[in-house]
Amino acid sequence: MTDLQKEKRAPRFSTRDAVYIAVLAAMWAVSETVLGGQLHALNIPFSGVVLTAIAVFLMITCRSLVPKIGSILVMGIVVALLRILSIGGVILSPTIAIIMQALLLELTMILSRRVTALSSSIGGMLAEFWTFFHPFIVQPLLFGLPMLTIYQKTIISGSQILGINPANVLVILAVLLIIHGIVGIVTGIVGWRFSTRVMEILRR
Amino acid sequence: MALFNKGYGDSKAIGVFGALSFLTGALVLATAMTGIRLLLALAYVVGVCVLFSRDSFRDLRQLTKLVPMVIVVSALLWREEYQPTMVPAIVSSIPFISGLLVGVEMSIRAVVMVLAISAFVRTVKFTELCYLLERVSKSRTFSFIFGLAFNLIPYLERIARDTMSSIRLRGGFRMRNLASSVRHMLSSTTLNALAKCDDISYAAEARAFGLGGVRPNHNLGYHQNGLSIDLVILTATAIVVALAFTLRG
Repeated sequence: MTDLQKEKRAPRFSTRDAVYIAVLAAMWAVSETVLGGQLHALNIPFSGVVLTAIAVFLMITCRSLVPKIGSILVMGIVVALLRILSIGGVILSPTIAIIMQALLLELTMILSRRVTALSSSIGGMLAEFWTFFHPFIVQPLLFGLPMLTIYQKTIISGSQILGINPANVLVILAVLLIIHGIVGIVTGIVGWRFSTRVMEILRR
Repeated sequence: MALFNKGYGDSKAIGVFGALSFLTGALVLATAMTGIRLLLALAYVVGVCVLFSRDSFRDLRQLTKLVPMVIVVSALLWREEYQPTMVPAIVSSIPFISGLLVGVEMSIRAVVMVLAISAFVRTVKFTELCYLLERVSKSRTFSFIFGLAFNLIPYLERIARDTMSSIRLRGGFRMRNLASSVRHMLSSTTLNALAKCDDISYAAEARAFGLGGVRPNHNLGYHQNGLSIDLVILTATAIVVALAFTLRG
């Protein structure tokens, strides 16, 4: 077998790449099951934002250590499978969120070609935006399109009961979206700074 | 391991092709069917769950808050006409009944989807799923990554717990230094875990995992005994989907 044929048959990730992905995926899975379970049990608001922030941090570190197309997506699929295997049973919503966040970050990194402060912050922002839009996308998927009409009617009725203009509800939603975006940008930059520092430490 | 579930519990393993055909059929039925015909999808999915995966019914707990909320909200707020086939017009003309019917239909759809996905995950063997993913991605490292991540979880939990205790002993995790404590804990745990990577990759390569030593894993692959069950499920799914679409027309 020639070297070229050997290279074609070779796995896309080296052993070290695979180990990095596995370690970071395990960390993400631990944060999802341990921290996520506790935050949801306590009904703490914006718990998804915190979990996504940790996930963004780990995904950017993973892409810096394994700068190959698909590394973040593989990590996301592994975490989703581990989440499915967790003792709480097969819970659809976080599994879909994990895969979508990994996909969004993967696409951002593919488009930017390398991990930079800008690409990390954009990726972090998109992942946090997904956390915001997640229930509005997953619930119509699960329950069907009439769910959108129910949302619309709930907003109108809720604003009538509270005596506020329905347009103000949209302003509140926009403010929440901006908060999610800012958290995503900050986490992306922190993740990028950490990953560059890790690269320096590991090179020693 | 406390956090993760290795066994199948009360579920029987179906072959990956049977499970995939069941999942596809159930999702097609759940999204395409409306009204009374959605009950056919529900009956089919419940039947498969009763036969192969009774544990799946436990996963319906995730809908216990959502379903009553959806039914009540749609009954109160839905004002449009909704006339499902096989329901007399007089019934749906009663106030709130249209909304109630919409809510019930949406809930049945959600139950079908949750049961289908849960039964798929619980009946398919993870080794077969990994094998399928490796075949599709043409990468032989996926099951290595998955297995390693699965086995690393207790070790990482221990690192995280130790780091958390040491930060707390130094006065961390108070309201005034919560953000910096979380940042320190995350960076310290990640660095600790990454420091272990060299050892793991050397150990893996010493066991001939890597560029030169990749050999097909005979533990992975499709199991032979499930082939007849696969065929039965494939045929049943095709019949139910065909029947549902015929009834619809």
